[in-house]
Amino acid sequence: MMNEISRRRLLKNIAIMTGGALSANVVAGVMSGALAQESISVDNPVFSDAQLELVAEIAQMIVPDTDTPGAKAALVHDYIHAIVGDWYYDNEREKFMAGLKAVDPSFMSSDEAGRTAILTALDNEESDEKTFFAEFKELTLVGYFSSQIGAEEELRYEQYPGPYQGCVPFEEVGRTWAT
Amino acid sequence: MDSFKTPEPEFDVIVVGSGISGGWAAKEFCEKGFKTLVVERGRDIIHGEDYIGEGLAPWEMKFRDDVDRKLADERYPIQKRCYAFKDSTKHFFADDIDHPYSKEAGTNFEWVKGFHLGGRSLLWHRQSYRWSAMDFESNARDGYGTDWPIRYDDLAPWYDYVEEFVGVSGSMEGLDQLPDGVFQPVIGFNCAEEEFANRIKDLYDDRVLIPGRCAHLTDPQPIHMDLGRGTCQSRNQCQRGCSLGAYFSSQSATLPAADNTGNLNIVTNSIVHSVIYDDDSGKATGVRIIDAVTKETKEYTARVIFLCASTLGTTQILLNSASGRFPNGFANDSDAVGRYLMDHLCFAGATGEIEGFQDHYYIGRKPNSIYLPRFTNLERDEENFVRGYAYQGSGSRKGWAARLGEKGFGADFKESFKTPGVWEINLEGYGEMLPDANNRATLHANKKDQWGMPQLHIDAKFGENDKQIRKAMMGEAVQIMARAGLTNIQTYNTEDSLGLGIHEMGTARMGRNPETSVLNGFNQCHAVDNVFITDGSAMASSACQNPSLTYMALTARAADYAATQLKQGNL
Repeated sequence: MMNEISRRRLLKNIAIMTGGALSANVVAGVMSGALAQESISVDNPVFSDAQLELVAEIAQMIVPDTDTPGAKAALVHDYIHAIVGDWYYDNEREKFMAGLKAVDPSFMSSDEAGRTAILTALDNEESDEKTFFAEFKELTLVGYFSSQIGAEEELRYEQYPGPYQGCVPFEEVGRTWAT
Repeated sequence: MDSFKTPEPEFDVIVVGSGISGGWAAKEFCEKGFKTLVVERGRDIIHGEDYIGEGLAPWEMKFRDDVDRKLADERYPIQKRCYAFKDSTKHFFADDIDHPYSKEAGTNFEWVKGFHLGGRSLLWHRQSYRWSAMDFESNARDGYGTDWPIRYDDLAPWYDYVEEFVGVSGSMEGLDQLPDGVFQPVIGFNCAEEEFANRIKDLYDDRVLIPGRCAHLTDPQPIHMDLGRGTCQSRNQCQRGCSLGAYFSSQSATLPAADNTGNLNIVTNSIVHSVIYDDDSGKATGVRIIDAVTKETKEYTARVIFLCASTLGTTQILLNSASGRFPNGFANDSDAVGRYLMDHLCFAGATGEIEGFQDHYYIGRKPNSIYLPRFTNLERDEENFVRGYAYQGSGSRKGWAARLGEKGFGADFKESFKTPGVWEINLEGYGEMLPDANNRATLHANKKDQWGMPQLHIDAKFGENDKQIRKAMMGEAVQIMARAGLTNIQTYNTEDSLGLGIHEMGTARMGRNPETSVLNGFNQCHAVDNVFITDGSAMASSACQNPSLTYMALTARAADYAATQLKQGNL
């Protein structure tokens, strides 16, 4: 099975050989394959196992499984872990961790209705600063829609869209472009 | 007496720098049969192979194409402000710590640097516009800056020449202030842009919205395909490297064309320390370089030298080449070297929403802009500023990234992102900055880089006319959008953006008078006839069009002139 690098190399070569006239079908054929988010390395892990699970469950409530997989399958929790552990400066991390610790401790043992109630309360908090939940939701949406599942299954993504078509019926695309 | 004869130079021509200008100089001289050496300060970049960010999907990058923030903050505090600085492109930006320069207190000129083979031809935004007759006459008309020694007609055939080779997509419009060119098929409007253009046509007699003109191949011809160049695939990730060669760069086009002749020699990791001046002949004999890796020095000799090291790179070399004859820097009898630094006035404009077309969308990440050519002060000065500005921009439907702050979660919330949002139009001004002798780069008295080169010290800020244009760019964008029926109009004007237009120019200007300018009408130093400068430093004014196409045309023209002079034995 080809890895991603060799697929890309092949695509480049096809494009050059054909003078760049690369059909969407060729691309689809080469790029097809099961979608599974590759693991995300975290250099500075800061979540305990329980916290990572909590992050995964909250993210899954924001982006649940529907006709496409949700946040958990897209490893959004690992993305959030990488941002909080590796990207954030200390003060930002402390703030996030404080927010995470302040989540109602009954969340994990609650059923879906209970979880919804807890998150609805957080979602409705008003503050001059960005709330913990607003921050969490933003990370979840970025992590999901930039994942392979989010970009290619839930939305649409083409590495090689082909010559630009500026005005086509929406049905020809069908879903929002991920990027 | 033969033993005292000066040895023959190693090369016919030395070209310093390998970006947009250097690539063209190399191609022209090599194709005319001259043995040419390109001296590049940075590392080698091989077309395709070294485009390590090309083709990466967002999920293949840990931070989804954002640069690791700690790396960006520590090593790239200036470069990170460039819109194109991404995880997939960061290796084409020079590390700010390794490549320092100095800023005058209270000023903040941001210098975006690409120090590698190909230079910023691998990073440019490829918008390609001719200057007009008005632009070459403006200094004479209002008295700001010195009169250009050339006019549009001098350059027109060279625009034709470079456009055909580059491959510029665009549309014929018949505008005096933005001459048409030799175009590839246009990358045209999307639905909202076309509607906006139609409304502007109905509302205004004096302005028109047209598709941008950009250096993408849409219908490659043999002149392109022979170099392995193909058709643009609307990835719009050009600055990662385009191994399709649809995006014009030194790597995709000029350097392979030069290499095909067998006359091209390239040395990389070779920082030009200075141009060597010979008092007896009154000519330059070559360049002295510092090996970036070993820090050893070395000299190369040639009959003609083309400085194409980028505006500030060339300025540093000139100022560092002081001699008995030129105590203030090479060919600097006028004291103009380092002065009149300009950029374009950018990051001021507006966004607005345009209703309709909810059942339409686009395919492709549009690799082109829309363009609203200059409409102020065309015939006479009628505003509270001289010169003018154009708009670039885009129309697109809002996607998930515009909705990160919304309330909600769960299945319906997730589902709602499948449908794109309203169409949004952005108009960003590109304004002409006036040449001002006080906007200046000098050599710092004490600070040096790790190679012992004195650091550039930049003292530049926007002037009053510049600020008036910035205001007008923002205010007029609102007026146009409001009259055209757009809603939710938002403005922006980032004043702290000098340099970030990445169109720095003007520090070794062309002019008619050797007492006030550095170069004559063929980009030839007034004081040293075998040294030419054809990067942005040659510009006597900035106009408001993106300048790279003009650098290319000036370079090809200057190379043609120098080649003729060489053949006639005059250099």
